[in-house]
Amino acid sequence: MNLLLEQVLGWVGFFSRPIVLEQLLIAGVAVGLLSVVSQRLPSGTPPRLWPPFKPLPLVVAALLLSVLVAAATGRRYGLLLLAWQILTAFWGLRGLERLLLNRWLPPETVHSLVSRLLRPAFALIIALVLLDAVASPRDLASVSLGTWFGSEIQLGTLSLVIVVLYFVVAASIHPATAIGWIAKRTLGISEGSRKAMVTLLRYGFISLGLVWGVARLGINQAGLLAVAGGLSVGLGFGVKEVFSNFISGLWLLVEGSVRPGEVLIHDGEACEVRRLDLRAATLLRASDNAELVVPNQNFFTATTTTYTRSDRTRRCGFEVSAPSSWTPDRMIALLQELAAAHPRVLKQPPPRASLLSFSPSSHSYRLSFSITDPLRAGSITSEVKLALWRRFDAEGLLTPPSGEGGSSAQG
Amino acid sequence: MVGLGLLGMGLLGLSGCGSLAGFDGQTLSVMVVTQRRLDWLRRDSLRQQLWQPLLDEYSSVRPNVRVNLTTVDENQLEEELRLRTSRGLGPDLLLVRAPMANTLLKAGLIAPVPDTAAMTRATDAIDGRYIERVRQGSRLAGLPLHEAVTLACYNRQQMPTPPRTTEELMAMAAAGNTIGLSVDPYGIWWTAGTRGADRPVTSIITGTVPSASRTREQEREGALITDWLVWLRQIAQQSKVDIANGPEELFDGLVASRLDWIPCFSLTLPPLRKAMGPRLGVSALPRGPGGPPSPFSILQVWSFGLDSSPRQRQNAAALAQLSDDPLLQRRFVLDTQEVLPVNRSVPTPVASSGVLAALAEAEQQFQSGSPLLTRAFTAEHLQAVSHRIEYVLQQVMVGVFTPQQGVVLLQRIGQRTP
Repeated sequence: MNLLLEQVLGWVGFFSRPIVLEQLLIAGVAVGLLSVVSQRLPSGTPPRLWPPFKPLPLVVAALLLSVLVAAATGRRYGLLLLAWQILTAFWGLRGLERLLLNRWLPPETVHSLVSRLLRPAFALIIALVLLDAVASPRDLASVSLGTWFGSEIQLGTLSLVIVVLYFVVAASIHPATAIGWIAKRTLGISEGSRKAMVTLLRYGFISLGLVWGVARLGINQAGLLAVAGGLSVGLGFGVKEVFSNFISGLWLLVEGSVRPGEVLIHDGEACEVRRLDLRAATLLRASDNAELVVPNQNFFTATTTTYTRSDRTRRCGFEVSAPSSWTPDRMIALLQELAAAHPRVLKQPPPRASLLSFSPSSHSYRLSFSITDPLRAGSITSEVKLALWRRFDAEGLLTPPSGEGGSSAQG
Repeated sequence: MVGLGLLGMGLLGLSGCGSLAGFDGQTLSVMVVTQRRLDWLRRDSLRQQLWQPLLDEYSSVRPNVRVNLTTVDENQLEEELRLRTSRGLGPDLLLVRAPMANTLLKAGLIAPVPDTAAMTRATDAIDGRYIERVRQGSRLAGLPLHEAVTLACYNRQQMPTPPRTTEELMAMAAAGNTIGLSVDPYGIWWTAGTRGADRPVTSIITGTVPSASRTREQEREGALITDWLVWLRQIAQQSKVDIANGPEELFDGLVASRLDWIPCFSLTLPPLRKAMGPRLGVSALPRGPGGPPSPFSILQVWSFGLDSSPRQRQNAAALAQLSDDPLLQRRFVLDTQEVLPVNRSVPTPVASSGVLAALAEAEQQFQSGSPLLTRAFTAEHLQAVSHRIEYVLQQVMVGVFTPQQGVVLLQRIGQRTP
């Protein structure tokens, strides 16, 4: 660490050099000058003709001006040029994000790509460029950080492993998604299987990355075994739940009982599985659009009601009362006709109405029908009820359906 | 820059500021120029063996100056210096080989040795032979630090006494000892002297072969090179002579006992000692019928960067002058047993060590065997042509070119560029 510290301390001395201070001064004057000019421009000047209104373009333009001035007056300008190149590249990156990615990709994908990959990669490259400008990255890489598990760990190797693992974790979703998409197109697997495959592939890539990292660091396997031994004791106490959730997640993916994209009932509400991560599954509750984070272990140990295990159809229904003046035959035909008329109700199996009870004043019926989108059971049931109410109203029946209180949707 | 500053501050904080004692912002950026073929094993030990004693001494003289060492390979040096100098971030001091220092001064990438009274005293203390190797008119490209030369390294268990002549060397090969050679400057060029071809080969290395029509002198030199190439082809045909692909392979072969005798550069002695222990024997290279061998010599010098502030220049000069202090020079020689002192008042203590005696003998061989190399020459021609020369030698040794064809090609390579 002392070597590393000495390297860093050595950079401080560069700021005492006249040639470095001169370049900083030129850049400072140029930035100040352009700021003043920008503020004093007539208000009607089109921004497209005069871009340096915002801070980044202003500094880029100021640095370019500095480079030109320094070159014209025979002064050295390498530092100014480097700063201009870096900021121009950053400006270009932002332009790329805005112009290209936002047009081609969905916003969430752009956000993920930019924040997890593009900008970290850019920051890494710039850090290396700056390091190369003031020091020797090769020397820094050879700085020893000590001996871990019997192997000497050098700063360069450790940094490389961390960077590669970061990019494997952050970027593995993209090749995994691509492979899943190809598998779906070529092998005809279901959407749930595709998502499960993507998750498993991602875990596979990360596992390979970890194995590579350990091998690259040259960590002694005996040391690792010792750590594994310690972990096994830890598993019995503190990290049991974490490990249990992890194994449950893997098992669920392989078994296919709970996969991303599936619809299941959680706490009496229909929810869609959005993600199945190492520790927990993320569910989207359809009724209020809330996201629930449920530990994987819950699905592993408790009964799970799913509508998407073998197919995606769901049987819905409700009970309704009608005046006894309507014959049961007429009422059953009306209920089945109204349900069949709804565009989202399946024709096969057909809607079915049945008489539940009768009395001198009113009869009770039950209507059941099938839909393909389990998450929309509530809204479709409501729409069928509404259509029934309108029909009753049009027929002049005074007694509206008692669906609000007596009907219930069941699947 | 701001990020780097913050990073620096962060690291200072993490370190508990232990190394900050006495630090008042004065730094000295020292660039150590390495050569892949010689320093492949030494990168890690460079600091410990050579620089640490010097840095310790320096920090006792100037405790408030932090020395920042970076290493750069000689092949990337010019490009690296151009880039750094354009930014004002060049080193304050470079430790570089004399021919490269001459090249850099000629290209305006370093400053000449400052013309101060203290520096004059320092240069006066250095043997004039070394000063001549960095003199360009009234300017000096660097301040000599130490010299390293080609020696012979052998396995004592297989070879109790080293060969004193090339005939003995070949006789040992015939008797079953495995001899290693390689076609790089350190591995085979020494043999030119043993065949009397040292002067024409040196002309080729330095690019000073006249391009005019052939003279009697050139014909005589051509005959000497032909004789050398014929001999090289003969030894390459011996089953116990292994032509290796560079010094690394020779080194590994000797350590692993696949080879019993190799030419070795003195800078590789510490790792060889570490790997072989008492099995390692060191001697001067053998003579031949044409005269003494023509070993390669490297004079390492301190050169001054262009971007230093006045205070940094003073600190750099102080470090360079300190390294030529007689006591430190003697300590370098005795501690490392791989270099020779340049201070005229420090005799090589040959009586105390066989290795130092071999070093001193090799230095004498260099002075008599490679006269052109003892003057200032630039590295650019050598860098440009060394691979081509090695290619021709290799092709002659394996029989693709005849020695006569080899001579024509070598003289063409070494012709003075107009």
